[in-house]
Amino acid sequence: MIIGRVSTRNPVVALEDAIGAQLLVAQFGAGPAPVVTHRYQILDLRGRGANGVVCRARDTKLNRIVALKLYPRFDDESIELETLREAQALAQLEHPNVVRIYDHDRGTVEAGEARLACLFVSMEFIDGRHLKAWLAESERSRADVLRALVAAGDGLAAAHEAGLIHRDFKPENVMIDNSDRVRVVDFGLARGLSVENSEDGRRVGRAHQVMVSARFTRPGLAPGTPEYMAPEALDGHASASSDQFSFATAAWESLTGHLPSENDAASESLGRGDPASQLPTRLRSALQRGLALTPEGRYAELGELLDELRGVERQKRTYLVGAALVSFVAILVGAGWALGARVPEPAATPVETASVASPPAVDKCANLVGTWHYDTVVIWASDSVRWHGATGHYELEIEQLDGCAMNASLRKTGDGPRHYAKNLVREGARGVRVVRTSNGHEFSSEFVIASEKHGKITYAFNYVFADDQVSGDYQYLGADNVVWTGILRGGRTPPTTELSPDLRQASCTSQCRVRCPSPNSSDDCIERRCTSERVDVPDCGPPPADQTVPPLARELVRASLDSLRTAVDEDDKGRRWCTKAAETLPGHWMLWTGATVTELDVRVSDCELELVDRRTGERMHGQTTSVGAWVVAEPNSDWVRWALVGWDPAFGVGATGIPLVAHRRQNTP
Amino acid sequence: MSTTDRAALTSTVNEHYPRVKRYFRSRVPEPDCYDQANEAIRVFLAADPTKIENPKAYLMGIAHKLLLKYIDRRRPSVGFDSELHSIAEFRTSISVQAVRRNRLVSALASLPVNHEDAFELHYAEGLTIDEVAKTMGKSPATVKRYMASAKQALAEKLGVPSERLSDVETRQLVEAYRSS
Repeated sequence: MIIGRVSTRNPVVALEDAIGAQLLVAQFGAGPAPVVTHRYQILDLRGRGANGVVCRARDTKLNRIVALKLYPRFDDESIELETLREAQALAQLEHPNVVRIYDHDRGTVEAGEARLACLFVSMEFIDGRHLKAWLAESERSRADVLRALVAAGDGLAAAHEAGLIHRDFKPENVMIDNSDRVRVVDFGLARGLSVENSEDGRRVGRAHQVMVSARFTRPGLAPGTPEYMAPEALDGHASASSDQFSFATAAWESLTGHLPSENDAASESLGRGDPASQLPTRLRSALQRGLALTPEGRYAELGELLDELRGVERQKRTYLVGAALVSFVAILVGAGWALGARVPEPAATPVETASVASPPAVDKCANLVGTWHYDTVVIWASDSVRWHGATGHYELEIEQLDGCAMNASLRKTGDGPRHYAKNLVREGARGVRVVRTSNGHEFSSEFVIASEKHGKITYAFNYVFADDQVSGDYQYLGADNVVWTGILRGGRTPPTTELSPDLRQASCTSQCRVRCPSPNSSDDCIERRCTSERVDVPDCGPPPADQTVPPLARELVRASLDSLRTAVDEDDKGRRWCTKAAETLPGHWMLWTGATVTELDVRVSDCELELVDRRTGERMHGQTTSVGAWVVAEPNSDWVRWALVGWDPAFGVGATGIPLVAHRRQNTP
Repeated sequence: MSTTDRAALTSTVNEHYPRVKRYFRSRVPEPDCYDQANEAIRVFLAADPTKIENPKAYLMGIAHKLLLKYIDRRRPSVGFDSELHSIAEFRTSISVQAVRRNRLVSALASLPVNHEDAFELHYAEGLTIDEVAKTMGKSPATVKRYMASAKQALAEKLGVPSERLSDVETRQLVEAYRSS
């Protein structure tokens, strides 16, 4: 066997062969297992990269299993020092989405009779698989894939903050363990320089002079993985921005099943059969920006790209109306702003990820561990006004995994005022990541709850934890595309006072999410309106272009008031709700019709509505329906002009197809 | 185990492990490639050495059979046919292939397993045509046909007529394979 430095043409392969052969010899009992520096007993080989070999090993000093990366020694001292320096920087980085480095140094591999000088890096052993294998295991929802990518991106961004560049980010370097925790591995150690054997057998480094044949047709060779490398990285100028390019490439591949072509990266419109055309516009645009061929074209920081991806993730949960909703027809009633007790709250700023530079903030995630009790109340329901004000009771168990990586399991304990169900239903734990913001600690998660009565129901909760209190907002996605939105409040013990369906008692962020009919508009609302001076969100402004209109509202704009009156008269139960709606509607309302806002006074008599335009004095008439929805008719006509669903907020459509949003201002005295 | 036996086993493992590990690395993802290489050596060591005429060919024959079994396990719903199917889908990712010094090696990945094996066993592992035939359980004429098919694929990749695929270029290919 070879003694000293490996002198074969490819020293990494030789190291791999030496270790692999000796492992086999040890398995036959014909010799000892290979060891490193008399401390790390190699258990098996896991893989090989361009510069080193990865093994699973036992740290005999601390009696724990580690991953050991072994690099054959370089003759160029500067390369070794650079490698050790980067390992040291990585070791100081503590982040739940970055593999933990335990130790690094020069050492010796003893494999049979061979003594091979090496550099070693000992790190956390992750029992799992890389992202590509995880994707291939079973079908993954886009939300799950986005969550995994964002988690990996958080780790990468944290490394950038610590001054580290990965240089070889790709799905194979994103590990997902058996509890679905995501960690970035294989940081840029010993990269950036190609290594060759000189004529006298020395192993020397050389800055790579040629470029690799890569996705954007550059011929040549380079370190890293060409398919994921930014053009400037291929030229030897790797940076955090080139990591962003690699991240966007990996994300594109993970979400569409293929690597992006130059066409994908630039094109605004994709062929119908192209999987990328199925991506939401916002997501596709964000990734395309990350794929810009020059750093100047990309986001200034990876964190900005991640914020966009998080926005898309929230978008799936916060849509307020979907196809085939059972909706009510609503008449917009002008009303003034609802005055009343305002809940003072700290300023809400854009969510900040836990800073690597502030360990105490990360540690306080442990304060969330344990049981939380909270109530929910419905603010808006797509199927019936009768759900407005409906309450639910929940228990949330939080268990800490590591730092701010937590397990959360939800149990619904009852419905209705002080009604606790005998049959408890439970949902399995979900891995979540808590982030620290100016409001406290926050996380969002979807839970699927199985109910004998209602089947499987999905809840999407946004939680804020502060001072032993929990608050936030949620969406309920039930059968037949029913959607409810609401708010929640609780603490360490079950609430003793009832939660009223008053949106003003919720945080600014929650108000934005409930009031704004699309994720873009809710994000915009949060960013612009939730400042230290502003605690109330009276409206969301004009309905955005991407607002989804309740299908029932679309149907009702084709109805006549006569038919609706008949339906109400023939339905006793419906009449009750009609009357209830009529009690709630009178007042001053703001109606947004596209970009135009109209202030209306609404008066109610029985189920008949009268609306007056405060500016022009125009009078309109309308009707509430058997489920409390509102319609207003065309002037001098019985045909419906507007159809709206909900009581502050209300969402719907005009007869011309224009989306509508309505908000109450104040109750008529 | 006596000292002599230990020494003999160690020598055998050290001699053959790199070859069989290289064979599986180019066909089976990490870390399974190492397990398969170990299994091939184990089967080899369990055989009666007095009955093995050509250890290298015998070992590669074991490796070839293990590879076909591995692939068959991975796609139980489809009958795997080494005359027809390549194992491109089971290979290491495109990105890993891309870092190989010579991307022409990946041209072989698209060929049926038997064609690729015949080419590599002859050019990279130095087996004669007859040895390759014995390893694969095929006739020498069939092995020649496999190799011609592989050369054709490489020539197309290089953009030259297959009869002009020079020995130099073939050797370069072999070196690239050996360094993988």
